[in-house]
Amino acid sequence: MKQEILKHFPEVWMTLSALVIFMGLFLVVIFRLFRPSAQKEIEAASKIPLTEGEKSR
Amino acid sequence: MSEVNTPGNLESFKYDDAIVRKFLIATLFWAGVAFLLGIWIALELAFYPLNTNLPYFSFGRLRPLHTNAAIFAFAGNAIFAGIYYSMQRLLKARMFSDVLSKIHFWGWQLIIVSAAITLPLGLTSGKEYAELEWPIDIAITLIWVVFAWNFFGTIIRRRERHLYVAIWFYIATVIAIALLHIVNSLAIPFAPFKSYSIYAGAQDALVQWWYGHNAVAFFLTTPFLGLMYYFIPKAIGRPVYSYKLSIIHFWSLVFLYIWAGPHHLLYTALPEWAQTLGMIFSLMLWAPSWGGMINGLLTLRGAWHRLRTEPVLKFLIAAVTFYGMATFEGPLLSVKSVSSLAHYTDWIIGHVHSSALGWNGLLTFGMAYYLVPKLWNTKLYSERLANWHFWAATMGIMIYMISMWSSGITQGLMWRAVDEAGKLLYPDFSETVLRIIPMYWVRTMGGLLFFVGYLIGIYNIMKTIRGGKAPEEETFKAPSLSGPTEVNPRRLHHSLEGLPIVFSVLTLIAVAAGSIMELVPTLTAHSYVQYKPEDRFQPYTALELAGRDLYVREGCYTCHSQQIRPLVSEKLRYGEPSTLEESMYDHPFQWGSKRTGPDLSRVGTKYPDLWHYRHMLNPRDVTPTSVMPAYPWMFTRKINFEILPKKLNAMRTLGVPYTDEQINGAADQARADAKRIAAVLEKEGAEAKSEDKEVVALIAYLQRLGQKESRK
Repeated sequence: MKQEILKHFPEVWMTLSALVIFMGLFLVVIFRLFRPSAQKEIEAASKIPLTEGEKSR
Repeated sequence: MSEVNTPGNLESFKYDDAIVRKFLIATLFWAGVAFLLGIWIALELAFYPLNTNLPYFSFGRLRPLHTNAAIFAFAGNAIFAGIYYSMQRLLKARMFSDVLSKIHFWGWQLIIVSAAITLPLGLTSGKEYAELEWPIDIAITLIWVVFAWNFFGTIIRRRERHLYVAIWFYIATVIAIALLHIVNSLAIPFAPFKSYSIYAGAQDALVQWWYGHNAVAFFLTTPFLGLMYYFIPKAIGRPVYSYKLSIIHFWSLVFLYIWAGPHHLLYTALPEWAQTLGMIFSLMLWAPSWGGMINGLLTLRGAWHRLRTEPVLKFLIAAVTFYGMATFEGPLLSVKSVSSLAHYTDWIIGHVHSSALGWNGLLTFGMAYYLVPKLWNTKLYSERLANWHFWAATMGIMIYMISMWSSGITQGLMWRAVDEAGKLLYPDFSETVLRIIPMYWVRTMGGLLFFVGYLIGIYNIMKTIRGGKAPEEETFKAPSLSGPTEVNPRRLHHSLEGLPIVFSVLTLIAVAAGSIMELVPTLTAHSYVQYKPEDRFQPYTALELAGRDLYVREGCYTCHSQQIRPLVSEKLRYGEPSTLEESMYDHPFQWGSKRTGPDLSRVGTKYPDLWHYRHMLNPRDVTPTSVMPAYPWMFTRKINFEILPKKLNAMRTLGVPYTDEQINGAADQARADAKRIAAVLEKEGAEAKSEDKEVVALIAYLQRLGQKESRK
């Protein structure tokens, strides 16, 4: 069974699909990040360490 | 703010800073231990008498103690101090359980103390950065679970919905380290503090370096990047340069790093496809690593003048700079042709220390100088001393790096030098050692300077703490997360950050992808790689196995390799390149990663028994310029024959084809073999009555290296 799977490894379409999937995921992440609608939240997120919560006194 | 929580109740809470103080003090204490050990072993290389002729202090036993102290005691406690401090504040929640925090702290210190006891005693697994034997491995797993429980519990209890980028780095650390530690530590115990790795030879090599490199990735990089993403903005008072960049480089880093392990095994018998993957992914890793560096450095844009006056910033920014340098050097070293020069040389040591001292060390001290005044409610005792610390540390690191580049490249070039007649220009290994000894002294000076900086820092910090007082925990207020939010679920990464479990699973998938792709085909290689019958090795005899375990105990692999690369100069110097089959029964593999001394893969039958006898008693008797420690205790300590059946049995469980006869007769056969060797030694002029001494077992093992079968 394993030999049957391994026989396919030299087939270019396998590595090509892996490349397309991973590059695709990477590009999707990048596009989503650069949308104008995302900017406000991203800016807010980057400021989190500078807010430690109101002191109660 | 774009994300508006429907105001849940405004809750009061306090941060647990007592635990941070504990971890920080532990960090600073173990730092001293780790640095002192480093200086000591550096001196041992330059000046061999410092090995003291006592087993507990020989280089082979102390080096693992140094690496464990630096990584797990120093960097480990630093990570925990930083994570406990920052995550509470980033999540606006106290740690989930004060009890778990305390168990984590004391458990971790106990683990360190067990390392300090067991490693000098020679109770080691023989695998780098994973030397601790099985009871301690179990303890590490348990304490890590305690930490993870406390960590995720706090995330669930958080009052800040959005998980800031530092938290993702911490999540990746918690998950990846658990995976790496458990898989790499799998072993069969046969004695209270001894076990054999379930993996052997090339498979053990790949698992070991999948673990080893990713220990660097997920213990020395990701948590420190997380700390960088918290402490630099805090120290400067501004957000990071680009939050978008942090998202992109986080996912790239976490996905790519796992594949890089094989760059430690270039030109070895590891299958070519795995080596190529390791090299290519290591090169790709340059990008996300520099993403982190760019983010850290450019956060200071327009405010560089503050470096002049703020020591904390000096430390943090220098740390990020060293990180950038090291993450360029790493991919460079991963290129096969560069590795062919650098592997086994001091260049690698230089690389390790510029990263460990430069990135991890300076970041930790920067964090400490930031935290101590806050945690003890006072001002830093002296900024001037902090600056002195900074410059001493940085100069020390530069001296260390440059001396090791020099010695590494010199030795690498000397090893590979072949004249027009096709002969080695430097056939005598010890000649290449002699040439670089001055650099060992220079390196020691570098380390000493770094240590002096540390002492200045400790003095400064102690005076600061004395002048302050740990404050009562302050109460903070923040709304809870209960109640619906107006978060738009269609914003995928945004909701990802609000869903820690999904995030953790995706991180696990990113980490598992490379692991599965590299480890599964390698671990199942026996079912599709035909070992040629003529290349098959006979398993070690009982006496040889006893000798091998002594080799592991004494840490011989820290200076000697057992893997000949298919390079012209290596074939000339050592013999035929190593094959996959030769180490197929080696649990654990001992291919080694450094040649302070020559490769030993084909040393079997090269020298007479008496040569080895005299060499172990005093290396300088046979090699005048040797830096190797002497092993006089192996001439008085007796071989443990009784345990041999247990050892062979454990090996058989792991697939080594010992017969019942061999197992049951192991002790007697070993005694007979030892008597034979002792008789030869006596005839050649050695002391009589050595047939039960450890050195005889070691000789049996050494004479077997590279030989398909034992001598008759």
